[in-house]
Amino acid sequence: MVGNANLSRTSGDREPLLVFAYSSLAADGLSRDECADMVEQIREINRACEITGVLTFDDGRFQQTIEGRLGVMSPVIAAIVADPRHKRVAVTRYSLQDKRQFDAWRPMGFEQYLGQHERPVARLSGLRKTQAGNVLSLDAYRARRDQFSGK
Amino acid sequence: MTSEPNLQVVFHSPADVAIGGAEIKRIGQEIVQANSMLGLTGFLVSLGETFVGVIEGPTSVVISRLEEIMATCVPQLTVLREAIVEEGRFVNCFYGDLGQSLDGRMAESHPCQFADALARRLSATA
Repeated sequence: MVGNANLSRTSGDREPLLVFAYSSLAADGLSRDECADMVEQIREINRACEITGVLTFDDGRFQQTIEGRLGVMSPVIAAIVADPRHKRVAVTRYSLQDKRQFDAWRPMGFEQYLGQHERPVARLSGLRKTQAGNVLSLDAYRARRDQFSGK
Repeated sequence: MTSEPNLQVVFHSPADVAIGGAEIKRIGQEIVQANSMLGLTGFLVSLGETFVGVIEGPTSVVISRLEEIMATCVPQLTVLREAIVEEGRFVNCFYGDLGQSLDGRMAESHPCQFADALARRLSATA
């Protein structure tokens, strides 16, 4: 896990930070496994591009906020809004900011609210002020999924 | 309720260079507000003096609206993608303004890169 250094202050990082947020619905037929794979893919891209943020998935609805240097965000945002794995995109934020809000969240925080017959995990409210460890890692998520599915 | 096919357009346009930042923001807000009232969806962002946007909705409404935008406030408009889509990608009409804080090089290159990427990605996944 990368340390807590403020990426917006590192050398060569004089570009402003762009914040992009949206909500959307999962495409018809998107399975939980596909969702998990997508999160892993997103994390890899975000890690490579030094993009931080948070993604939640609840009852078929995605909500994501990402922040990164302006120069790397354009292709990422374009890929997000065109991604066929979700639909009915509502852009809610596109603005500049001085400092990362999710700097401690690397890899990107992700929480999937489980179905009503499964044990709920901690909700995201307030987690921005807590440690990244409070957010389920993908491995932890998979372990929980296997646990609840009786594997 | 119209049965017209939905048209999706990706565009970018340099705003009138004589217009200041506050004016660009006002124009952007007015464009999006009018689009929203017409039931059009997508988003518009202003970066420096350039607008980048996606607009989608019934074909005739989108075309009329683009013509109106060009006639009234943004005369130079470049369409990078124009396609009939079964279902719009967006459910709202959002305006984002990055203001005038971008330096010259970034203000020139970023909007074009963003618009190109949007057009390419939306075309690839259509």
